[in-house]
Amino acid sequence: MLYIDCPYCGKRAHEEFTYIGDATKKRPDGAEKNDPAWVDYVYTRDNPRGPHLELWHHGLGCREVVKVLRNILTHEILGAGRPADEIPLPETETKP
Amino acid sequence: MADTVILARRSALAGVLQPGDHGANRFDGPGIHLTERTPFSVVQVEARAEAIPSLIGALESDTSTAPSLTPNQSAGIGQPRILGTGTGKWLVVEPETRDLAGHLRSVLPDSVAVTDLSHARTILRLSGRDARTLLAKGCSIDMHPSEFLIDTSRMTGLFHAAALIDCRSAEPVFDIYVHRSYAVHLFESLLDGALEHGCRVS
Repeated sequence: MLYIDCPYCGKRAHEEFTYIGDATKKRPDGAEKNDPAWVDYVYTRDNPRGPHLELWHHGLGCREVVKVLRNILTHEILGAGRPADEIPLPETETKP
Repeated sequence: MADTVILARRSALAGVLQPGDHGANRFDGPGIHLTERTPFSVVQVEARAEAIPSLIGALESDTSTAPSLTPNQSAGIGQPRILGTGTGKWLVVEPETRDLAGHLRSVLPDSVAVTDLSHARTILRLSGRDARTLLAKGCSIDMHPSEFLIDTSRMTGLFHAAALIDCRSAEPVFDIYVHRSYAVHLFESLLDGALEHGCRVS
């Protein structure tokens, strides 16, 4: 069982949450219709082999959106906070 | 000419809830007591962050019960009971004797959203020595007495249905709020899980 430390409810099982998407994407501000920034915002996604910031919806709890730092490789939940919180990425080993 | 219509609450469990003893016949009596609490007024009050202090102040002066700012906490002895369900969101619950939603609209600030949910929730009362064991079968929250304390209320999934579990007493006594359309599912799941302990439905 994976547990997410919801900033509102405390430690809850991940079954209470629904994955929303990538939390690192910032909506372009005032960009043109065909601006490449929109293509990047809507379609381009990284698939890192390690920690990744994600948004999850706590639908069976407080119904708030939670930002989660999850290791995509190991599924380990490394941290959680409110969407506006800055969650620092952990230092990762650099591979040659 | 339109006929006069008298509206009365009709339980979502009508025909399903059969009073009596079910399951194991334990020498020390049934381990679970299950009943429905009805009719009840259930009203949600909600405010944005800047309006929360005025909401709390107005609610406390009207009901003499201070809603907790800490999520997952409930307060009051039932006249009314105020349950925190999220940030800036509470359920105000009392036995139905008046138009509670209309009353709250008149005493709370205009910026507070008041939503009557009396028709939309079913309240089950679960008690007995095996109540915590039964709840643990259907949800992933720690139900141990040292963790799930009296006056704790938690929104969670119970047998896959969204439910609000409120610990009323350490005996233990729990009130479970569930969406009306899931009431039959939850009642049958609880009853099925309670058979091994012996269940008295009333």
